Order: sequence, then C-alpha cells, then structure tokens
Amino acid sequence: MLKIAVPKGVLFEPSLKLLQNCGYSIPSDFGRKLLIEDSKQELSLIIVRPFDMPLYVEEGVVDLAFVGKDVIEETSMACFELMDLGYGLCRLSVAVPKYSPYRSVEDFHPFIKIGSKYQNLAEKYFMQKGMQVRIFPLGGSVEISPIVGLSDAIIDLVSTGNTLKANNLEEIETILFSTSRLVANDANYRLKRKEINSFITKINGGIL
Amino acid sequence: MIKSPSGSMDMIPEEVFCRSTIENKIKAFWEKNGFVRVSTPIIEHWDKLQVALGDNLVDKTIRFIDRFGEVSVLSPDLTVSIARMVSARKKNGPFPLKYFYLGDVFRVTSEQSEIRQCGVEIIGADKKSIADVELAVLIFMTLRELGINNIYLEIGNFEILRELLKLEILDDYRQSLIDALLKKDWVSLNAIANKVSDSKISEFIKNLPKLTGTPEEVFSNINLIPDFLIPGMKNLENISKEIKNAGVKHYINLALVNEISYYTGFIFQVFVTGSSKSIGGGGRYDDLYSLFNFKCPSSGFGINVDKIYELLKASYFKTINTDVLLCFNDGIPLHWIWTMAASYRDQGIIVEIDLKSRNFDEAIEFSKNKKAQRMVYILKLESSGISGWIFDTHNESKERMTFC
Repeated sequence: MLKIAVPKGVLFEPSLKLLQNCGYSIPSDFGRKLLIEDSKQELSLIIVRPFDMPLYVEEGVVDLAFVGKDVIEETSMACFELMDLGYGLCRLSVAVPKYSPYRSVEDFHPFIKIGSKYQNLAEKYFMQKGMQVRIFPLGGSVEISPIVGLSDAIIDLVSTGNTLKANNLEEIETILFSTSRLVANDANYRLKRKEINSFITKINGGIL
Repeated sequence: MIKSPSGSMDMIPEEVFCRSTIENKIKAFWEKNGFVRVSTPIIEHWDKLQVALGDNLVDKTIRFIDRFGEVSVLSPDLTVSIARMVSARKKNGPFPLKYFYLGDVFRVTSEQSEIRQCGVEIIGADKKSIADVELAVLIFMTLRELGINNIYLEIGNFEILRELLKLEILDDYRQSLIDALLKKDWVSLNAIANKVSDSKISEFIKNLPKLTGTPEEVFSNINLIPDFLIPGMKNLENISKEIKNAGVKHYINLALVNEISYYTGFIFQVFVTGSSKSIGGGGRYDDLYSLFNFKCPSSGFGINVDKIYELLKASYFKTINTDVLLCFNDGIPLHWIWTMAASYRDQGIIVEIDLKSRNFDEAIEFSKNKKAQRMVYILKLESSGISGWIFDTHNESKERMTFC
C-alpha cells in the first residue's frame, strides 16, 4: 500500500479529485479523520498541514505527497519532484498598501520591514537583489501586517488577488509561480519503484 | 538538564556497545577483504578541501581560524583527508592501496552535525573497472554481513553527465541542469530540456529520470542515448554485468549525482528498507589526488554508521553487565581486594570493584541494580585468608567462601 500525504487547505479538494479521476475510490465524506484509505486499500492518505509536508516526506513516513512548489522552495525540501500536477496555480508576490510610496521593489529603502510566511524565499529574493531588509516571520493573516504598521510590505501567496484587494494591498512584483507537485521520498521512491511507477502512470492518465 | 550541543549526541554504555558491535563487524569484514585501517585528523586545511568538496558541501562545513591565522575546518569528508595523507606519506605505494577508515565527519545539516562514517578507499588501481566492481559488491556484502537484507544498490556513470554538460549548446543551462539533477527536480529538468535546441539532446535530458531501473530495463533503451555518450554507457553496462556475476542485485540510474563534486565516473548509492535516506555510497574520483600534486586513480565509498545504528539498534542492543561485583567490608586491606580481582580476571572474568561502603544487604541490592551475575562480599580477614559470601543474583542464592 502506498502512503500519500495530502495537504490541508486549497490543494486538498483538487488532490482528492485527481485521485478519484484516476480511479481510486476515495470516500467523499470522512468527517474529521486524518487518515483515509481507498476502498481497495491501495492507498493510505494522510492529511497534514502544508508546511509539515517536508518532515513527513523526508522522514519516509509517506512515500509520496501532493505539495505546493512554494513549500518545496521555502523549506528546501529534499525529495524527488516527479510531476507538475497543474492545479493550485498561484504566485508568491511582493505587495504593498495602495497608499504606499513604494511602487516597485527597487524603491524600497534599506531595512524596510517585510511580513511573510516565506522567510527563506524572502531573504533569498532580497539577497539576490543586493537589498537589506528586515523580515518578520508570520504564521498567518500576513495581509494585516502593513495595515497596522508592523511591516511596510508583505510577501505572500496570491491566487485570485481578492484578499489583497479586500485589505487595500497591491502586488508590485512576482517572485515565483507555484502549482501542486507530486513528490516522493528519496529511499521509498527506489524501494517501492514498481508501485510508485504504476501510480504515476495512473496519475498521468488522470491529468490528461 | 543540559543537552549535548545541537546536531551532536551523547552515547551511554548500552548505545556505545551497540554501535561498537556494528563497527567491529564491519572492521572484521573489511580486514577479511584485505583492507587496512588508516586514521586522519579531525582538523584539516581548508584551502585544498574547499576545491574538492563542491558548493553544496562547502556551505555545510564548520570552519575556524587556527592559531597561525590559517583557515581550518572540522573534517567534513574523510576521503579528501586520506587523499592528502597518501599524497604526503604513501606516494611510493605499493599500489593499489586498500584502506578503510572509521571516524567522525562534521557537516551542519538539519539532522546532525557530527556524523559517524566508515568507508573504504582503493588508491592507484590500474584495473579501474575491477576496482569499481569490487566496491559495489563490497558495500552490498558489508550490509548483508550486518544482517540487512532488503538492499537497493543503485549504480550510474557520472562521466555520462559530465560529457553531456560539456556541450556548447548547454552553456546557458549548465548550472540549472546541475541544480535540477542535484535536487532531483524532474519538473525543472523537463522545462530546461524543452529549451534545448538539439532534439536528440533535449529528448535525452527529458528521458534521464526514466533511465532508471533494472539493468535489463535501462540497457534495452540504448537507442535513447546520443552516440557520443555510448562509450560511457557501455562502460557502465560492463561493470553492471560483473556485479551481476558476483550475485549482487542492483539497479541503474543515469541521473545519479552526488553533492560532493569530486566524482568523475562510476558512482553508486545504497538504500535499505527502514531508512528514509541513502545510507551509503561512493564511486570514482580520479582527479582528486591531483589537488595534492599526485596523479593517481582512486575510488571508494562511505557508509553512515549512525543510520545503520538507528536501523539495527533494536537487534544489537545488549544490557551491559559485569560478571562479578566485588564488594568489601571496611577495614579489609586493599591489596587483598586487588589480588582477588586479579585472580578472577586471569580466568577471563569481568570484575568490577565497588567503591562505596555497604553492608551485605545493601551490596545485594546494588548488585541486582547493576545486573551483575555474581556479587562477592568480602567480610573479614582471618588467619587463613579472607572470608565472605558469594551471592548469585540470578538464583538469589548465597554461599560462604574463603580466599587464601
């Protein structure tokens, strides 16, 4: 049986749908369970928080996982990145309040304050630009930080842009585009190669 | 409670015993295979090592300024240290040298900074492919010797990728290709391949992740390999055949790379059930010794002892206990205690001398806690010698004794 980690949040529904499209009979109603099996007991799905994914994959607790490219890059997740699954398209962007004097990243003054859940990617981004900034790592509700004066700008995931709009924020630069990826644990990818390869073939069929 | 520094670990006697048992088995097996042990210092010169290691490993090193103002490093890799040592002290052979090592390397990683490693080096072998086969077979058999059965040995030829990356048409993509291979990011690899103008090369890069599997699966796909890479492929096929002839099941992976940059040709890794990462690997590094002004082909492998320990600790665990615990009443002349302990030890019996004043009942309790097989309690000195009790902790029985 293959063990697969599925992330909570926006990638959860499309990930389950993909598995169902590929012929796996995943129950639609499983209440608050965090461990689900398909009816033929070919897959065991573990539902975890996106940023906990690296741990589950790297420690080999699961063989495979559906995970956003943003999480892979932010955590430098050590795994096989096997497929771009296409769904969950969003972008990691720099955004500022509408009334902000900064209209581009190049306008930022030294030691400008940035609020973000993506501390590593934010640091890397500004380092590549040769800019010194202060990054405040936040766990969530990042959009509020410039409104209340904690930060001057934010780096966060943007999908439709509605949350930014609702909080009077504007995107000024995109750092990376992210979609859902199928990843595998380094050792399990080898040790369960036959099972994993036939799973990939099924997934390919499901995407097409 | 003060824990050991982050990334390091303490080991209590039971743990040391378990790890030593594993290490002793490995040592004995390698000695049987004609390898002899060498040892290099924990501190190394930074300048030469830096060139040999490659960017990824360089970032993980622990460096400092020594008392002469030179940059030194806590040895992050024992192969390079052995290359320095051989270039300095064993330039005249006789070759091939077959060495093994067992020691700690230091790398800053999320898991651990102090890593117990053992490995072998074959230095100066003319018959390179035989040395390659010997290494792959030896790593497999070493794990077997330890009682590990489900072993996934994966081999590749780094020369194929090196030749590929020399192509002028890949000038703009070289670094991103290396990054994608190191990160095993097949999505990026595919995206890069789409930008390559030469269709055969582009297809080959796209197919690299698929050129993995049993020797039959991979070598039957030789039509996917561009002509200029066929010699490297044939070389790998010959090595694979010999490994198979030695009775060792293995797999091929043409996209196999290592974060250490000194590899030049044959390369391999091992995975075992129960460990989420590779537990060992190695390959050929024919250019490494030239860094130390000594041209000499060499190859070897390393095994992460900590990972093996994690895997086998349950089966190798043993409670550490002593055979005889020697307790004595106050006032007994010490030379009697030493003499008595020596007479036991001469018979190959492990004796521990108690260093605390205890009455007989307290000594019984202590010997039970220590899990000693027997407790000898010396009671008093008599004209004929010393008298006392022997307590058997297993049966909880006691009998009188005299010792002359």
